[in-house]
Amino acid sequence: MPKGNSLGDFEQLVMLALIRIGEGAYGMIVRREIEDRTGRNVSLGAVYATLDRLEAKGLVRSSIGQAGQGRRGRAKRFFSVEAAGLDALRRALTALDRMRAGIDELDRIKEVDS
Amino acid sequence: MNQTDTASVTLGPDFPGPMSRCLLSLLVPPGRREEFVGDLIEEAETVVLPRSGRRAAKRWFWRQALTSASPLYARHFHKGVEMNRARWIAIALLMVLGPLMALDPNVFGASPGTVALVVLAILIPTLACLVSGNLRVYAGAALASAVLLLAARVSSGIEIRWYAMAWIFFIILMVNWRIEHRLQSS
Repeated sequence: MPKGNSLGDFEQLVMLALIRIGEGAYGMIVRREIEDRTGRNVSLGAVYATLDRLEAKGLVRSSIGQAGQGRRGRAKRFFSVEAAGLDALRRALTALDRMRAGIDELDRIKEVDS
Repeated sequence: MNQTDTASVTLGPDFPGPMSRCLLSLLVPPGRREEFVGDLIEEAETVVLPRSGRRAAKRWFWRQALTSASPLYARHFHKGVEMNRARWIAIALLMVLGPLMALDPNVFGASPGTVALVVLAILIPTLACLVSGNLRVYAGAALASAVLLLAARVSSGIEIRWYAMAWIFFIILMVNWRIEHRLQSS
């Protein structure tokens, strides 16, 4: 795996949020998706910095949209996952699954959570 | 939450005001500032305001802006370092090779005019690297430097020896920096 394409914990969350949202994903929606699903308090700046880093790695692409209502004339920047991004995410999640497999303590936590 | 708060539909047409915009321009680095601030306004107005009122929405807005400054600036500076890596290498190289070049016995014993030409030949590209990010400026500085070295060589007959390598390094590094710059902005 190319070194530059390994994904950190928060990068994985951002990529998963982008995939869940699909078309029309932009900073604010990504932030809310992560906050709603993980309960983690996330700053919009952290989301933007991560999206920017993922874009520089070629895992995500962005395009500027029209200025929406309620944004005082400011345009939205839409993000979507590139094929290389999907591959990198798949690899990261597979590695995590392999590391987790067979650890009884984690399985017990999973059962309690569900 | 008071009556006025719950009745509010927007944070006001002028929000954020001129002073707030000034503060935001300090907290949020340039680049994607407009999209970032647009997102903050939208969430504050469409999500936080209806749920918690105007005061809470403004408080949320500023808390977000403040906590966002650190990751945004960290990314901004990191990007700057990545983009300018070759530029800083060139500056370091010139800082080291420049004095070595000036202390070369051939230059050291030459006339004041020749010494001035060599010093200028070192200073011009170093300053160009420090103050500009433009490849044309670098190319002009390298050319000016080469002309000055040649003038020093012709006027006093001093040898231009190993330090000619510095200019080859310099040009390679600038081309490398330009490629990085193009990759970053594409």
